[in-house]
Amino acid sequence: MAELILQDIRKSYGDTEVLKGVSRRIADGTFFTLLGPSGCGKTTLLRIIAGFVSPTQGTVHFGRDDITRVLPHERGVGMVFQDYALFPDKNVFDNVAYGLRARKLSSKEIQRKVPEYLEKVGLGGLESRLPAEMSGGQRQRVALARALVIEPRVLLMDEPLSNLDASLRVQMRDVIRSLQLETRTTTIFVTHDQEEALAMSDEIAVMKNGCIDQCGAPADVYRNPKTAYVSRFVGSANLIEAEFLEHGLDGVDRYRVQDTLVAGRTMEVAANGRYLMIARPENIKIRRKDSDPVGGELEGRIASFQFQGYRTSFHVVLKSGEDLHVETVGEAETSALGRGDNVIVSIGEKCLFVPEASA
Amino acid sequence: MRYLGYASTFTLLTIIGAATNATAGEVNLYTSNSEDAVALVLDAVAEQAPDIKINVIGGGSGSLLRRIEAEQSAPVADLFWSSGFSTLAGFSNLFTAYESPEADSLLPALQTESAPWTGTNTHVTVIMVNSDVLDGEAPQTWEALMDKRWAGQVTMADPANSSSSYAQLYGIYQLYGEEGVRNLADIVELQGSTSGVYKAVAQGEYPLGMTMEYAAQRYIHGGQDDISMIYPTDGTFLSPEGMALIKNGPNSEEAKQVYDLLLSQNLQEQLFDLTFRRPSRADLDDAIANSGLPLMEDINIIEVDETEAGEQRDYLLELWADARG
Amino acid sequence: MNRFFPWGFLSVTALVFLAIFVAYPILGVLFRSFIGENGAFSLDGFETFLTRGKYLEALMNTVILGLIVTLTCTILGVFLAFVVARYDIPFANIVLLLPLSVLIIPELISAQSWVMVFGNNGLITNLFKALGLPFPRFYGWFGLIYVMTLTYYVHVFLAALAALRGFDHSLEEAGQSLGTAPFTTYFRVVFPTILPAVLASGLIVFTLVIGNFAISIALAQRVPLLSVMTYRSFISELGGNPTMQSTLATVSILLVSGVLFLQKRYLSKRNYQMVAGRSTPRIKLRGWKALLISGGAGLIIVLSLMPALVVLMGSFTVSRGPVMYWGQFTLEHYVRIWDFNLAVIGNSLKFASLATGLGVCFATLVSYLLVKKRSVFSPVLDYLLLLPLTISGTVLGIALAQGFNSGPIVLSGGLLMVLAMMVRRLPFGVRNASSNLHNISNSIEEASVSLGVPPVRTFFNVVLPLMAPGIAAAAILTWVTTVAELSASVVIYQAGQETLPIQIFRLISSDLMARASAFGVINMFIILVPVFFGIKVMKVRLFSS
Repeated sequence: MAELILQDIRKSYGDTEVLKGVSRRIADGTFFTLLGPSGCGKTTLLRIIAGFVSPTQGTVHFGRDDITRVLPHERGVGMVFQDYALFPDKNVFDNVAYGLRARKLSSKEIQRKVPEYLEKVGLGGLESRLPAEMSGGQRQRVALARALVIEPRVLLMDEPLSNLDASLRVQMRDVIRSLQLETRTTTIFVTHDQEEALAMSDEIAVMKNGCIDQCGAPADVYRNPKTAYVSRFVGSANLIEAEFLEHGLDGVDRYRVQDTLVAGRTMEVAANGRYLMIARPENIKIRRKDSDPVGGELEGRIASFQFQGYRTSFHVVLKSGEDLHVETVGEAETSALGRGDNVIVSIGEKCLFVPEASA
Repeated sequence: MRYLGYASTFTLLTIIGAATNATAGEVNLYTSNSEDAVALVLDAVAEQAPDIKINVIGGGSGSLLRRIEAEQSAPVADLFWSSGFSTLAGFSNLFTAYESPEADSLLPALQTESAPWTGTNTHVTVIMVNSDVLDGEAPQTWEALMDKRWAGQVTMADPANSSSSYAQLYGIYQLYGEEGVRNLADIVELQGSTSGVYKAVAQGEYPLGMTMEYAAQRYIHGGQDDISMIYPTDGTFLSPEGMALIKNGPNSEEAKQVYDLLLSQNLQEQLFDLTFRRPSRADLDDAIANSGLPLMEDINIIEVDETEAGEQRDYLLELWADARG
Repeated sequence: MNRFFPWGFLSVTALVFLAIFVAYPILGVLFRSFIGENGAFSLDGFETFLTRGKYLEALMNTVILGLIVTLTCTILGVFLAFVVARYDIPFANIVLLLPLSVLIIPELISAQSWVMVFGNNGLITNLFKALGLPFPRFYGWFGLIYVMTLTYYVHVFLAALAALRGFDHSLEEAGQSLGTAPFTTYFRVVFPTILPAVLASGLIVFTLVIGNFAISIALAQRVPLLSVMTYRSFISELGGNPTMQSTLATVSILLVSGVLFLQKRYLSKRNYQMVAGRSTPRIKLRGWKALLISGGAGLIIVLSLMPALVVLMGSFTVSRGPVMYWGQFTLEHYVRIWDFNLAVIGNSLKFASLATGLGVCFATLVSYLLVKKRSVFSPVLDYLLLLPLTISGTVLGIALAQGFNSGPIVLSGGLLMVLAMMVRRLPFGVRNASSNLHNISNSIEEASVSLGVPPVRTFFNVVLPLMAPGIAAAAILTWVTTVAELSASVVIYQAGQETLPIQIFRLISSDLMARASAFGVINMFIILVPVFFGIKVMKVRLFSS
């Protein structure tokens, strides 16, 4: 168990800079997620923490120990891989016991700990199975047990749920999170799936092109995206060009969006003065056009919609030609709307404004 | 506890073994002769010099001689048996002369006073014939053989590679000079090795081959009826082979006993019966007659000066290469 | 962090080994072909090659032979592969054993046994003679083409079979639905896609033919061939100037390098990977077609396996000197071996075990380095590993003998033999050992390291067990080829170090076929036992690559 401190981590391969100065202090016991698309550097960062990649610059500390130059097998990290990486020729018991044996634990100790952790992951009694005889979900649990049984200082997880099917993924989120809370292991979790990130993490770092764009608790990142990129990566967002008009007294600024006035918070000042409005689909109200739009409202037409049971998803084309994605929950007035209907969409006050350059 | 018992027994046996070995003599024999020939030697030694144990290293004579040469500074070999005289000449610095009491019984051509080796047997050059593929009458002389009608139907070994074949070439050169060499070059096709000649004739690839008596006799004696041989009446040549005592060999006294044995009448007769190579002894006419081969006196042998042959080698091979084109 | 140890260090070590024992000797040979009689630079060797004697003829014959045999092997191999892949024939199982039979029967024995059957004193020849019919002469072109085809067609067969089996049947059905009849479809769709594989294996056959020693020296007779001439030059130049042998060896190297270059340039680009698809259902044959095709396949099978039977029979046949009496049987040849020649068997076992052991260890290490631990040294390692492929056994033997009989490093025959056997096999050993490596994901090793096991121990704990099938295949194939190795060892060996193939070679040279056969049977037995054990007991798959 340790606090993990990253200081100005940079990594270049030849002329390509993959990590451009990442610094972060991660408290002991945190479930910390690195979220981003492929190529953003999240896996590289994870591997630097693991020791499989050396940073071009910067340091990694576990607590007070500078482990930047320490060899990977001496770091005491536990690692869970996307493809589980179970040793195919060894059974479940031997897989889980592997790290313990490397640490020269007594066979009595091993006999005690392995079943204990297998119970924790819900695989009690399956010690003699071979990996080939198990399902994906089971294998991942074995991998988890194997990594945790050695009581690592840091647990590193590299997209561990990507190879599982949807329902299993959801189930495993719970397993992992519960275990992590129980063992209170500092965990670095890499994923490109924002749902996972939101569901499991204490903190999320949204990464883009080798940098952390924004870092914070899930709710914070979701409700207060500082950049257009973050807004689209965590949750979905409609981004429309907005023209700054004036500052407001209560921190709520006024903007012109198309031909209407919208008020909302400015997350960051744009150097070139160009802004985008972030409007989440679930925060936009939609109704049949029976009058002209007023402030904060725009006119459009339903191009298509998808009924999905508890919610309905609308694709609206605004009068200006831009696309808007609107989601409504429940039936309400929207059940009567159909393709081609003229509608009024209302942006409301939960919209935010960010520099256009931050897309 | 058991292991201690085994270990001490083992040690005791080794000591006894070593002690016994110390009293018995050993001879390291490097030989190019076939195993059954060597077996005869081993039997003879077991009978007549039972104290001597022979360690046999077999191989081609060339590779054996090179090995002896490589071991010069700390000789391992005691006795080398056998190779052609001209080949031995090239390694004479490795040998030491030994006057065996049996030497008087040898044919004069095979006694070599000035050289540190002694003849053990001799080959006779013959024309081997395969009547199955022969068109017409077989030539009875070298001159007849070198007639243009036999072009492409006669084979011999490459004189550059084979010492016996070189001896044949030298013989022809002695008989018919440069013209003879050219005529021969015009009609003959070469084999890469000595054995290739008799194999080719036996297989019917060629009706005629210049090879050695013992090789043809193997097939005749073996029962292949289409094979016969001709001793050219204008004269044929011997290719003597000998053995040598290695200089500073570790067991030279015992080696001399084996040396003598190899020249003894009994063993030479046995070896002749087995290999058909004419013995170096002069007193085995009965055995030769019994085998069906002609007696030495009944063959027209052309004397060849081995030293001359050696000295002319480069010149003759040049001439040959030139004649072959 | 010291990233150089241990893998970088091991890479360099492997590199140094290959540089000393592969590159240096070969360069030595190339170098010496430009040194003349008096030790100075000269082109005499090449001049002689181009103007004198039969050298050019030998080169031409060699190339022509290569082309003809490649053609016949292709026809035979593709035909058999087609039959096996497409039709449900009765002896399909035996057919799949064919590659094994070629493996187990050394070339020398194969040539020898065909001589015993078709040579002038041969079984069939005598049969024909007794019936009053003529039989064509076996030595020369007929024998060479016949025996080499039967020996090498297996390469094309395997390649074509793999390609045909991997062929997605949906493609054919697509072709047919687009309007072409089945046979035309076959021609237009299937055949072109398997062509690269077939051509690639054809090139392998070509290089094997031009470097072939055993069959050539047994059967060439009046036909001058490059490999035979190289060997003869070596023998005649012993103790003297190695000019001609080096020149001929250089020509041989250039020839094969040229072929390999062609292959890299034109063929490796066009390898069509089949996305996993449905395989073609097998058709059951009826009527005269069934008879014809089954008969043809059956004949090929019988011919492939015949040498083993002939040699077996020959080993028990009475012979007086060189003359064989077929029909009369004896055990004396085996008794003789027991009495006199156990040392030869011992030599074979000794050298082959050492070569196999060392070779497999080296191949395992190098394959791991090349697949998993690539570094700046890897391309050089790749290249050095290709070198043994460019040279025939004879050339390698000559190179090693020349390189190490004097100079900075002097090695004796035994060690040199082991080295020659090992080096010849290395490229294939690496390929076998690495066959599983690509399937072992990197994350497995990283998992082990993250759990606290250092890299080298991780290799032994985790990677090695998973490489085991590939390593086993490498071991068996290396054993098989080293026990049967002739062309390099016959050039290197010293008196007292004769192996079984060398002994057989010498006996064949003396025309003692029956005795040679007895040794041949023993040779095959020694090869067969580990192969059998490996396949039946350890379930090793020898031909998965």
